[in-house]
Amino acid sequence: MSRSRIRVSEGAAFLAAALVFLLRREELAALLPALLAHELGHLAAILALRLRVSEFRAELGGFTIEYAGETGPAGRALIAAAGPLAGLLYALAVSRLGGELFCLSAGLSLLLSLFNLLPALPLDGGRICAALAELLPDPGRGERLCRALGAGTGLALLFLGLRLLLRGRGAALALSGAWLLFSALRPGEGLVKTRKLR
Amino acid sequence: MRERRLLFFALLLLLLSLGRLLFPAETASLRALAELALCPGAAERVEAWGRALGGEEERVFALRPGEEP
Repeated sequence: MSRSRIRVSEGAAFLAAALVFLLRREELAALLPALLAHELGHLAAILALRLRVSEFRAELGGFTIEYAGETGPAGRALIAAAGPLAGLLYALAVSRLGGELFCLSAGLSLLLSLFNLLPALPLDGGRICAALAELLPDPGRGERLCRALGAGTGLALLFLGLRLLLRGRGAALALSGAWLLFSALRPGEGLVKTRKLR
Repeated sequence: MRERRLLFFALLLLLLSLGRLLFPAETASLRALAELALCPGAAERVEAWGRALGGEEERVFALRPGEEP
């Protein structure tokens, strides 16, 4: 019987080292549970649908959970939505505890969840759109619609980010928009990966 | 593969060194990063969202030297 694999790319290790170096301990303590809650949400949905996790991958752009088994578009949409939903629930719960650390963690989780709900691949919102698009009578049209949504979202963020840049602010928003736009226009940018069990 | 690992660690050390130059220990923080990546007050705004979720009243953030309310 094959087992689940855990892979950490050099880029992910590099990013982790940079965060450990740059952030204060209490800020890391606020960030890590928010990330964990998000990923545990995805994992819980995968397990609830009786699918098998084949690989857990940490990359520079984020985490990816690959699973094997049969599930329909509704199941894939649920798996994609579970991460942001878990993040929102975590934010609500932790915010009640009060205090600087917990409120920062709640705010980070809220930001992560809302950003991930943007309708653009490879974000969770994009995966929800891609899964729901399969329910349309013409799946090809659904995929084109998803790509258009993703490109539009990326363009909007890029535009807002460039405005910030012109005002002498940071480039993070513009870079995020460019990344989403590139992902939408890149051919073959994946839907949620599935593999049949052997 | 070995060379790739060596390159990776070399880049990591370079980043750490560069980080120490750009962000002296006393200013390295999420607040500083958020200010650099987005805009001043970004980290405080995220924390304020967290407070708003919890129903806490808005608090006055500590001002940095020279900063006006």
